[in-house]
Amino acid sequence: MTTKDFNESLSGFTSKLHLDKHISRRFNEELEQVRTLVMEMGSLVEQQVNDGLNAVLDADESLAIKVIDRDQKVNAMELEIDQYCTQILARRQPAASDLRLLVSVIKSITDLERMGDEAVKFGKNAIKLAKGNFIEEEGARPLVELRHLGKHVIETLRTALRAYAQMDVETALTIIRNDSVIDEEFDNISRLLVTKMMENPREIKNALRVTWCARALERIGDHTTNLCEYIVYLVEGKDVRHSTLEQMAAKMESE
Amino acid sequence: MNNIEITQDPLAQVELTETVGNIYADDAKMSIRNANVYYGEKQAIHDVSLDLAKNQVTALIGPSGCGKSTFLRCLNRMNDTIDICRITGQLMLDDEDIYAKNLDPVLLRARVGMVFQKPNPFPKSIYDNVAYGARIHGLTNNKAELDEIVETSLQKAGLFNEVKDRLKDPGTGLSGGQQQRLCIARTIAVSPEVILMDEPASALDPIATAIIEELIDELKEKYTIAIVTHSMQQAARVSQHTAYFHMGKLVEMGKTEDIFTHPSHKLTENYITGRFG
Repeated sequence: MTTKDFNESLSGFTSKLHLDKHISRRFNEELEQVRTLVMEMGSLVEQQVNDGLNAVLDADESLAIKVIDRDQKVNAMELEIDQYCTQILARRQPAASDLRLLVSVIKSITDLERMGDEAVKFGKNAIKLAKGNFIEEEGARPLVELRHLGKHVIETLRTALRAYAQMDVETALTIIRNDSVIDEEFDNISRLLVTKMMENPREIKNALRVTWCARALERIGDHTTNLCEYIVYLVEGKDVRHSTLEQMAAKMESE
Repeated sequence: MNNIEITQDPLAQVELTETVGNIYADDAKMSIRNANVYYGEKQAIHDVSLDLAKNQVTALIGPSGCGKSTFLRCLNRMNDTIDICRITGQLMLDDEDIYAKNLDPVLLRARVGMVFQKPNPFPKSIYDNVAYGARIHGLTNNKAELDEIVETSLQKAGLFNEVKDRLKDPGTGLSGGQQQRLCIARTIAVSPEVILMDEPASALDPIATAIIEELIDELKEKYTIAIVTHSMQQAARVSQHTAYFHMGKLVEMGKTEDIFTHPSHKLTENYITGRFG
């Protein structure tokens, strides 16, 4: 999703949270700015994950280097947003939905930054993989699986970011419920790679690198779930972290 | 939209049916049920019911003119002094109806004390300010007992160390924050059960405010406190329960932490986050 797409879907964010309804116009602008920055960071991270994965799949060393370098930008954005939120907390003493917005943003950007770190892992593994010929030989099948998992994870991340922009609790809940699918796909790839390692012990190193990439995707899935939990908290004021699906359903039912 | 141009009150468009949240306290010191207050023809309070939890602080918040001070003043019959004011409903202190015919409002006000927005010490010495209530209610037999009451009251109000060497000086010579603590000491001196505070810190600087807030926190160990405040942050800091009033109605009541993190009613949310409609 590009920044432009985000901006188009932002109306939900503003209207559902009534961000433009404060008596203080400056406060409106500040919260608006926080939101814009988070969305920018979100699309940057999404691009990082996408490029990182492609670098692995295509054994593209130059793209991998680009991803590693660009992580500085992600880190800088985390610091910038953190500082901005701290200032708003100090100056405005926000309450209720404004408070929940800032708390959820401060937590969300940690997860986004971690996703950025996972993208860097792709980059590093991509450079090492590009130097061997594992991908053409033993790695073909696992790479297909990795591509499949990657597509799923990135799609989920994109949906989650859109849900964040639109304050869409239903979509967020669906993503949380479906996290187990990503976990299962990760298990499948691991199993496949373990088999490859047993068949061809000389390729263990490379097979492990692909495993780590799959693991990174699985982690990105977990961070995406966290983002969705913050959406639920932000909109509904309900904390669904560390809940089983049954507990989550009960919490959503309760007043 | 962003021009500050609030000609009509958009909040008024929201239809109020009944109070949301929880008005009940497990251990209620005062229980008010269906209180209505009229000033002549005009109704200032509509059907308000709530409990003041014993030994806890309940904050009453709401925009100007929402009736929170009027409501507070009903709790020790301060409104009796206003001829056109009429009150219906059941207002109980423990199990006593405070509007019962045979109940002496002066005695009630000793049990339910009040601290006002502007410090209003009597034009007397610090000592006499505190001793005044004890004297008129005949709480003591001798000078030693009275000294004792004055000292402990000033100590509880956190003022004793600052004034112990000049108890004979006029109370009006103290700083604003000290005067307010003197008024609190004067209230405490008659051993009330409930203390009502009507914006006790709004005329004070931040340090004096912090001292009063700290004092409120200590006082709740012994007394039940209801505080009207315009400062939402103050309500969030000092109270355990918060009641939000709007246009004479109690819109929402609940635990303070809930009200300030996820209020249930749109009106409450708009008020505490500084939104208009």
